[in-house]
Amino acid sequence: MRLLSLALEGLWWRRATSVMLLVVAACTAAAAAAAPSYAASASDAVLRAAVARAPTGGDGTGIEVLALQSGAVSTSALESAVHDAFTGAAGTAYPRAVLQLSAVQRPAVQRPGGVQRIALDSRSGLCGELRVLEGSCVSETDRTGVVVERAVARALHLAVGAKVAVAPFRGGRPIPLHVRGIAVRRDAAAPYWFGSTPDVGQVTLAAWTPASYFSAFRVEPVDGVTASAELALDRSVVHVDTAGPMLKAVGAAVRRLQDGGATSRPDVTSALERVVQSGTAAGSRLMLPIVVVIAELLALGWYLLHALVSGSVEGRGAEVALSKVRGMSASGTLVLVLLEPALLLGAAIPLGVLLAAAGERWLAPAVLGAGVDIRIGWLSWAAALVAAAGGLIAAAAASAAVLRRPVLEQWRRTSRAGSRRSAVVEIVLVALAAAGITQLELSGSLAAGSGGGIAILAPMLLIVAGALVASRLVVLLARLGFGPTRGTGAVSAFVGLRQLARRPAGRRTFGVLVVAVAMAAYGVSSAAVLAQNRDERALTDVGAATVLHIAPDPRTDARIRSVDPTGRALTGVAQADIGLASDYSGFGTAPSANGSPSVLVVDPRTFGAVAYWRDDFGSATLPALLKPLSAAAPRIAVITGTRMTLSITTPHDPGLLGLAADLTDIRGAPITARLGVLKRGTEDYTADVKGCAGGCRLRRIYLTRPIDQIGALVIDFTIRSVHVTGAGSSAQPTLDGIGWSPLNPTPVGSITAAEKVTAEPDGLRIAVSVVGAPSETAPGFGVVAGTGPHPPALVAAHLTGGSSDATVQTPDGDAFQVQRHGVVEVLPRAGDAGVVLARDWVEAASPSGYSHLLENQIWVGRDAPSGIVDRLRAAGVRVLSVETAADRASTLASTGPAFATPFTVAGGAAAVLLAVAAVVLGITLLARRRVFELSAMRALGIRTRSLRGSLLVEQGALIVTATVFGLVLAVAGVQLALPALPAYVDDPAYPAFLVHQPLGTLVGVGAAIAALLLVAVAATAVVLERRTSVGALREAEQ
Amino acid sequence: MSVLVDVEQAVCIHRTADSEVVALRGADLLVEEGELVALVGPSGSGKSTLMALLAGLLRPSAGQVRVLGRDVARATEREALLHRSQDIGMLMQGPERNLLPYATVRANVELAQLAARAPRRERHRRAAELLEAVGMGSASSRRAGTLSGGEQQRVALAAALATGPRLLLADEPTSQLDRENAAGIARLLRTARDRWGTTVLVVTHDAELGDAMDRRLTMRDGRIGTEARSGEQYAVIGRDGTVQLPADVADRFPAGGRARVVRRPGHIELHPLTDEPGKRS
Repeated sequence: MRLLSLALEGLWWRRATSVMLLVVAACTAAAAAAAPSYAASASDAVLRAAVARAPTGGDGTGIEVLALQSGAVSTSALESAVHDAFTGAAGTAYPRAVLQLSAVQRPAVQRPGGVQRIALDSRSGLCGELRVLEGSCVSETDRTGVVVERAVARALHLAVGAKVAVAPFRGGRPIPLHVRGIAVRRDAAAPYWFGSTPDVGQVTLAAWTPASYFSAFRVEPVDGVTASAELALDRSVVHVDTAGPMLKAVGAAVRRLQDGGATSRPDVTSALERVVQSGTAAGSRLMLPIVVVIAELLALGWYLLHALVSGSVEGRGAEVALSKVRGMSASGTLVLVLLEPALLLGAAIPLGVLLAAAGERWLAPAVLGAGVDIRIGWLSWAAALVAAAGGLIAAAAASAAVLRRPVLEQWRRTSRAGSRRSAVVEIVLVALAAAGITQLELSGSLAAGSGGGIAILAPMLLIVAGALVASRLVVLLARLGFGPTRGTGAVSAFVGLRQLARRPAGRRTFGVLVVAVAMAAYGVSSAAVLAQNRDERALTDVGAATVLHIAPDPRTDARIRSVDPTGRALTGVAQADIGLASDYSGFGTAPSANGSPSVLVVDPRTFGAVAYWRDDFGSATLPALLKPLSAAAPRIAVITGTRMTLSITTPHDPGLLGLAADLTDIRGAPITARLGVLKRGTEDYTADVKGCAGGCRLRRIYLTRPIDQIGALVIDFTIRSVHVTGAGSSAQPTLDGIGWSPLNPTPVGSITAAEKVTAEPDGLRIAVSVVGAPSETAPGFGVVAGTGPHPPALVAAHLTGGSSDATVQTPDGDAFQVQRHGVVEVLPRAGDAGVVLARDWVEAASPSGYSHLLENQIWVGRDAPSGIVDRLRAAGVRVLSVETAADRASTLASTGPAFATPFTVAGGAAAVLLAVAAVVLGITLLARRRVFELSAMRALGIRTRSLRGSLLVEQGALIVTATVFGLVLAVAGVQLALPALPAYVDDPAYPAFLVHQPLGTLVGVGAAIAALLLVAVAATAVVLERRTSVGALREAEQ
Repeated sequence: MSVLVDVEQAVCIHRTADSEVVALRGADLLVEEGELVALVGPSGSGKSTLMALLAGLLRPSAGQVRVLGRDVARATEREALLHRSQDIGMLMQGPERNLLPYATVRANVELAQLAARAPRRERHRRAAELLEAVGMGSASSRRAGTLSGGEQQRVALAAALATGPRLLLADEPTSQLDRENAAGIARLLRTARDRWGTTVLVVTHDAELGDAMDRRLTMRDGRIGTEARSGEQYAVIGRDGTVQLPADVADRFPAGGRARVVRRPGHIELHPLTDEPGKRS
């Protein structure tokens, strides 16, 4: 008790030192305590972000249970099975199921360009989730009523009361469906909708019916009627510590569901496990950087504690001597000396944990996002305890020399220099660090793009080794200054340099400063480099600063040009995912980091100015690379009018042959013009083409035979001209330069040889030889327009192919040859697996029409004026969603590796604070000796100004040199390790990681740190100076 | 009276990183119980080293040092600690070496008794008695660091006497005190001997303090040279027969020269040979 009381009295007596020690210890404990909680919180945030980003449906975090219906159509069996499986499964976080009956049927009557499929869904609780805009929701008894989503209704021009008939499942009369209402979803992002989006395509009408629609049927599995239960995850309950049990519980529930059902085994689809594992893995990638930063901070903290306690104990040498003189045992003396730091370290544990909790709660919303739970668990307490224990060991180590020192030496203050021993330790440390870096280099961990987190060790090793070497170097530099400053009258410089060179404590402080500056600069530089690369990656992913997803409209291009006549801010793009196509022969299928390959159909004149491009993406600028794509496309025959006339010469009697022409309107809808029966001689054949007032593309001209015409037929005819009249007609089309080719390029069915197509002076001559009856595979013979040279393509590196020609096939089914004109590493938005084609060329080459060529995106360039999106909307562009590079960058910033960056910066800031403490300590702990020296010099007549100057020279040289070394080490560390560190969760091979360090900012940071340290020095020096007097000589003498 | 301190031909060599310093060159000393002895001499003459030897803080390089019958050279560190905690009180030069500045006066006195494992009540009683004796009873709850130099030295003396040591070693106890306080300390040292029977050995530059002691031994070059008792000066004859002359006498003999020894009844005469060829006078 007596010793405890003495310790408390001592703490109060030396309160300045006590406070300093407490602050350093608390900072060290806080750093340690912050690591586990930050890692846990950040991991949690990463997991939750991964879960939030994942689709809500069965391809994401939802569970879709699908049962093919047979017999009576009903959800009841499935509902019961799902209920039995999931009820009581603790932790499954699937609060409710949405039951749905689905069937895809065909319209009873196909209309050109109209609906090709009708997806009918009956969803439980539907009307509660809809906001009906017109008409009403469907009632359960209204088995022929449907509700159509507004976007679908607009796209298909449906109104309340419209009727659509669908073919029944197996024969019978068509079933009329009546549009009862037009509605929008109350919350399209709600779990209820299971990630489904409005279907605005032109091929499928998605409509909601009551369950009674289905109850009227008995079906067979081949009818494809399904009952499904959609279980949307309650994402709010997903946390790192609950994810594992939740997955187990879900797995068990799914097994129960699949094994226990009396009915057929349902299909269960969910990517929950993949999503959670991906999120958990991403979170775990945080650990190494955090551990490294904490290790560095702990090392600094312990070092400072060691210095602080050793200085403090050194100052209490008289007490130690007194204790020995009084006959106190070694243990008693140890307790007397260490009780004070032990008490402070003990107090630092809760204080550090509190600091960590407060700091994290303050920073978490900004760094980890809102709603992140900061939990200070036992690990944080344990880490703080370890930090304090390390501090105590450092204190004990620091005390050991004083405790071992004989009393007489204590009195005489003739401490033995341990410089030789410390030099050996430093050499060993530098050698170990060099060996570590070499090993990392040899193992490939430092190779750019290796993505190995272990590379984070390299900067730490480099900084430690560099600091040790630099601390020796600074002494040599100071010694070099002795000569020039000796005898020149520059007392300040001479004394300052001597202090710097002779004081081991100054060298230690220098080491601390180098490490702190390096840590802070590394944090700032790595944050800047990562942010820049994140922006680059985001722009590459999105393709441009902003991409608007729009409802396809043939007038989009005109609207874009009305808003942006120069073509520098906006460009229309049609993007199609070709990854799902079964065949795109000609291109290799090397796995792409970007997932499915894409076809970007662009206007090459504007695309190059708007799309994001970086020099290393290709061998030239994007406009230069797109130049071959700007070459004039083959002409196409455009019919603009409502009546079309063909002039044809038939030299021989053709028999009974029908003449027809196929056109596609601007939406891609097919139009067939029946021009009558072919006659001998030169005749005009006319047909109405009312859908072509806005322009149609003439695609085929062909002859058809009656089905009973089975004899041989040899005929040739010449198409002399085409003429258009009626509404919209102005310029007359020409058949020249279209690139006509045979309708049947190879013999097929009754056609014994391919049609011969030759361009004659008087027109296009077609010769045909046919034997046998007409067949379904070759219903006619004639010519097809639009095949000319293959469209030039700009291809990303991953789509490698041997030949320069290749076939591209889109999900629409169009397949056409392209000519590779350029290969680039990365394409904006398409990544390393994509093809860019010019719209004109694709229009000319595409056999089926325009549908996939209508722009579904508008890209907005970085330099676009503000408000341009609003102007597009005002011009009539229907924007479905907006995707920005900034949002993408924000998403990337919430991935695992990115979360380590703020921690690194915070670690650097903490290190700077510790450095300030080190500087103050460096001065105050030696204050007594300094006071003696300064007083002696003052007694010798050296002016106060010179004494101040000497301190300034010493500390200024120390700080400035340490700052320079720290900055250099940080820059080297970033250059060494950052390219090898994982920057994103998915880490694609593109765009190449750039290390453009913000040298200006780093110099600013260094200057700010140096200024802060100099202020601390000045404040400490003022206090010190007040104690400097000739009288202090006597005190020091004693 | 029994011999408390018996130093015979003590040699002590301090080793530093670069050299060795011979602090004692065969010092001899006998102190009997109850004596008040002052060791005087110039700086570096070995006074403090001799005191450290007696306290068990140093071991002699050669010779024998017996304190209270214990051989210091053979004592373990633990025995030395026990020795200091029970039998020897030390009063060092400078208050900061004797007191914890942050502790109260009473705590400082009691701290000295902690090592001796004295019961709490006994500690309190003894502290109160000592503080009263040194005139600091009223300041027992003040922090030592706030006292004046004289007061601190008095408290330090009380602390040194706290365990009731048989031998008090005091190193320059009056070095920072004015004449009045120095005289007070001299009185207290004598009181310690008179009241508690403590033998006192003082190292000092202070002639007045030296005169206040029963014996004043002069050290020079690591040896005990002369001794003064009751105003008379004596040369101390070493066990090897060496004699250190008083400084003023030694000045009359050239260094390295020879003296003629003349034995007379009752005394011996030394005559310097000044006309010896080749020798400086």
